[in-house]
Amino acid sequence: MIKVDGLAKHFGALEAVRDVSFTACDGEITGLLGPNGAGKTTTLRMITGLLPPDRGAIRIDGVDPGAEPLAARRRLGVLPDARGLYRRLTGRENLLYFGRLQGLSANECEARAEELIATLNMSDFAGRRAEGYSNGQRVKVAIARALIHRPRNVLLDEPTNGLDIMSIRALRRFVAELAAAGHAVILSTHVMQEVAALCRRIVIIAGGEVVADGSGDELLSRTGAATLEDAFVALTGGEGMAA
Amino acid sequence: MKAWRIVFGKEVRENLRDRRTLLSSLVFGAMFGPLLFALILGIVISREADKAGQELKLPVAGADAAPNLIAWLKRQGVVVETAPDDPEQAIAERRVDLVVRIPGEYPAQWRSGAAAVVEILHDSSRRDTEQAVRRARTLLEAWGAQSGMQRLLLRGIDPGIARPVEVQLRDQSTPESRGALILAMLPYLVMLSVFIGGMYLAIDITAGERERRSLEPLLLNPVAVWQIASGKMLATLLFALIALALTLAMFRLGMQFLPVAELGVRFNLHAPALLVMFVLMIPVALLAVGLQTLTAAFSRSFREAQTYLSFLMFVPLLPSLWLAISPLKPEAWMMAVPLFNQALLIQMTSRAEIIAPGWHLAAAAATTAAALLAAAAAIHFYRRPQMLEG
Repeated sequence: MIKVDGLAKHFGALEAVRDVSFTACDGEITGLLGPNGAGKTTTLRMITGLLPPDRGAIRIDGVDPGAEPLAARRRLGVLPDARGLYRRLTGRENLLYFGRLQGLSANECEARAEELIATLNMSDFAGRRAEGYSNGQRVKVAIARALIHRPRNVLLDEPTNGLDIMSIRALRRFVAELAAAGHAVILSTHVMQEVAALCRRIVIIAGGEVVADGSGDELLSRTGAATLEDAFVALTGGEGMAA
Repeated sequence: MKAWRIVFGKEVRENLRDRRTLLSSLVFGAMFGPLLFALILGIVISREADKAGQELKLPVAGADAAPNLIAWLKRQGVVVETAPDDPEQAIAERRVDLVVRIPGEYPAQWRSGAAAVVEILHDSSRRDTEQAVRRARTLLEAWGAQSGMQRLLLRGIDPGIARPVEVQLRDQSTPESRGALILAMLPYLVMLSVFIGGMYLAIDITAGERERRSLEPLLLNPVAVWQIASGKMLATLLFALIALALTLAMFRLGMQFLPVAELGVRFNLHAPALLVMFVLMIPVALLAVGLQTLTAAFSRSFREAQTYLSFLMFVPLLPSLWLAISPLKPEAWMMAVPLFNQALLIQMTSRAEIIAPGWHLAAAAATTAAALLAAAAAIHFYRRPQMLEG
């Protein structure tokens, strides 16, 4: 479970995040929805401990990443916006490297890597060097790499970016399975369909603030909009800002 | 296993698979210094051989007026030629290097005992003729001095009276120290090898890793930043040291092929001296890696890092250049100046000079301290949030 309370972060004069609070429960997919530049990536970086917040509290299964960053990271599996692989290593070697850094033994690491290679259908390319991978293959390795240590909580930043429709569907299935297995999943995206298809709870962020938090139906009834897309536009302050 | 060892192992393995790293670190890093050295040494040797061996061809105008002088010049091995009719023009057009002109008044002046004028026509802006002009002048002056002494003797006067002071040069240089004059650039070339050896890796695994967008995932692992940065710096250090070892081996090899004996000098580049240099250079390699990683970490992009690191290569040039231009007496306090201390020690080692006890240790301590400072600064930059974005 991830609890975020009153987060704020500024860069110089720019207030990237003003006031963000939400809870991502175990067994649920929480959608973090917002236009580009709303503060989603900054919020995620504060949760992972890469950025110290100016204000506010974060608890990951009760652990404060500010005080115990390493303990907090062990509980987190993160697919950040930056998802580069090591091109001169094979997909499998990419997984093993991060597994060892997560503190798994060599044996554990290999067993877990094979498991993920099977689950994510990576066996035909996992032995090749990553330099020749397609976009979809790269994302698969990046996701497997994030999950190598069986984290309780999973953060996915725009996971379907640049994927074809088949890969998107496979990915959605996989994320739904993660939640069904009891993980707390945060899915950050600016794509409405992603959220509508997967998330039970939707947290909408605009201008560095949470402007709505609830189920899809709650958002519709609150705004009186006919579709989630209309509700999103109404909540984020009109079409001009969403660009 | 400690995290820094995992990072170190992965960086070494990945970069051994990269042809560009191998080419730039090991091949270029190891070959550059020795090749440059061999080239310069080769030019110096062939020049010295030229100068000594070549016969002097001297175009003389008005040779009939001074038959004794001409006969003497021929006895000295000079090939006396007839000068062109327009000597000034010929020199300007580079048809001849110089012309010795014996004016028409010469016989009269000579007979009367007055100072007889002999002219050397030359162009001092032409550096390639300097040598010939100097030789011609020395020969003519020697002829004059010799004739003067004969005149004094004919008058029953001791020629010593006309030479109250006789200056004699007694060269105290040993063969090693004469060689070290040419070796003055050796410290720089050795130092350059570690800077080139580590450069590509330092950029690639810092600014390059960020640009390829794998740095953020890496930093998301439950590993302290200093462990990640240390693993990377140690991998860079390994490549720098391999380049250094190859460079020193190349120097050893090169000395066997170049005809250094013709210079009349001996270099102390035998295995034990090279081994001492290698150990001397370890703190320098550490400092190079620290500075390079620090620079790459605060650069905003791969290209920017490349630019800065090219400038960084001039840093080891400064102490070596200083030593080459203004030779100074080694003193204990100099051991406290990083890079300068090792440049001095390498120079002293190559000259087979005696080095005071404790100097090696003091130099190693000073440079290592500077290296640790640079490494700590690099780790500090790794911790900054800007590290993620550049």
